[in-house]
Amino acid sequence: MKEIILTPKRQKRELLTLLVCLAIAFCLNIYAVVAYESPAWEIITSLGYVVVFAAVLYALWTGLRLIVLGPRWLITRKKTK
Amino acid sequence: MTDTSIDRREFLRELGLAGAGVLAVTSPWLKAFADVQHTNRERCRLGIIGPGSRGRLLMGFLTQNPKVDIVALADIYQPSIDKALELVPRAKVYKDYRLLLEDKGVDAVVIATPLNTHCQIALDAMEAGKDVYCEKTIGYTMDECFSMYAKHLDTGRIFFTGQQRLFDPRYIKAMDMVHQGMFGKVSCIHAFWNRNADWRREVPEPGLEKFINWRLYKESSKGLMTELACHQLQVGTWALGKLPQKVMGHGSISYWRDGREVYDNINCIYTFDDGEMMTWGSDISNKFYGLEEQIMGNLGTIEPEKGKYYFETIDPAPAFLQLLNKWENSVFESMPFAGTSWAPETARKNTGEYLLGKRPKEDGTSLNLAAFVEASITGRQPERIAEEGYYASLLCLLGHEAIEQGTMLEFPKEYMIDYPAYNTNMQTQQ
Ligand SMILES: NC(=O)c1ccc[n+]([C@@H]2O[C@H](COP(=O)([O-])OP(=O)(O)OC[C@H]3O[C@@H](n4cnc5c(N)ncnc54)[C@H](O)[C@@H]3O)[C@@H](O)[C@H]2O)c1
Repeated sequence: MKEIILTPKRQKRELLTLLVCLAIAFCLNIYAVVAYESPAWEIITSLGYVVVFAAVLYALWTGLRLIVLGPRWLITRKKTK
Repeated sequence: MTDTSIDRREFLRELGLAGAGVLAVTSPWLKAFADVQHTNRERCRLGIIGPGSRGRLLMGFLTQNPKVDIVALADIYQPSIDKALELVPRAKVYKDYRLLLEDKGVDAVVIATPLNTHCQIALDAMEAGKDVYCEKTIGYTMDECFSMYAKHLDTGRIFFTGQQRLFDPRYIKAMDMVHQGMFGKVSCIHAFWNRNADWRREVPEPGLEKFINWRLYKESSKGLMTELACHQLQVGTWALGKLPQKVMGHGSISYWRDGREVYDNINCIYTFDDGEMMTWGSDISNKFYGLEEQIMGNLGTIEPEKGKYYFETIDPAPAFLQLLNKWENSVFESMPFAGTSWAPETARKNTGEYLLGKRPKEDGTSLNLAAFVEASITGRQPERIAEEGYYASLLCLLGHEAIEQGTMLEFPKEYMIDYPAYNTNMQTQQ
């Protein structure tokens, strides 16, 4: 099996993507707390949901990238062989 | 109750009832324990009449109570006496309860004989100057119950009945909450007691069938109504703080067709002055739902047997989940296959809260007995205890009567007693 090498640049980009997902989820939580007039401590107590939601966002984003960029990557790989 | 002296506050704390709001109003009989400190050196000399299955269970509690000496037993069945003597080997034994009543060394008696024998024994006991703890249902007829209560008033003897829920911490707490209005207006109580068992006992010889299986025969019992309903109907009136005005019901022998004469399947409806209803049902061919009294108010429900309560409105989900839920709904509801416009009203998942932090160790029986012993020692009848037992018995007998007559019966005014807790609504009916 061929090893998949994540370059430092790629790692940084993935980390950044994950952070952006977390930030979006966090902001959504704040928005929800305000919109539903829920107690402010839910910003903290709902952090678990925020993390799970961020993970889902990241997975969706990754899936989307695979669908869009995957075929392009396969084609360029074949050409370079 | 233990051998150390405790005051009422400590007693309530031990039960997990500290801080309960209106206990003095809801369960005033708990004041029976107010004198425990002063009675520590005193003892109650008890006689047990009918130390059968229930009688021996009660003896088990009583022998733990340092203020009790079980000094005498009376029973007409030798195997019962032999088993009871294992618990109290030094007790005197009488074959005739009347001889026990003549014994000056007996202060009080516990009556745990079959239903049809309670009344005469209790009347004789009070006449003989003994305090009486009589198992429920107290009388075989409403007339009997009335004469027992009247005798208690005439003689001034202490009179307790085997309505142990009155001392069950779960029930005391539940009633405290109901009476504080935490569950809103209680309009409906569903009480039921189901089991999957024939209720039969093994009989050593056929001639003893009716004596041993007295519960199954009309001459000695009124079946499920007097054996089970009595407890739960009392819970209903305790919760609503009033007596029903009318009752109707049906009974049948639908499964255990084994020669018994009492019903194995019963449903009754008791209706109150302000439209409230209490149903009581029992089917002894299926135990899935077990027993419960579901006390239902517009703000919530209590199930004291489970020791739980449930509010109608539960805290909303965290805002974040509500937001996600809204998005999900807006996606699916806009699709044409989203489903019908009605939703079945199946019960929502609501795990509720426990009435008391932990499950109480006992069901009130030992406390009921302990209160009786205190009352007998101090000579002070706790408020409302005899009356609750009286009306509980009356209600189950009235339900039985309605079933037998196949008609709706009104609460008979001639059996009303002077009991302000329940009298007001009956007066408005007149
Ligand atoms: N409070 C409760 O939860 C509860 C539970 C079970 C039974 N009970 C009540 O307890 C009573 C007894 O029920 P049980 O299951 O123990 O019945 P049981 O048949 O096991 O015991 C009754 C005893 O009374 C004796 N007896 C009968 N006639 C007598 C007489 N004339 N004089 C003296 N002794 C006599 C019998 O020999 C027997 O030993 C009933 O009234 C029943 O409803 C109450």
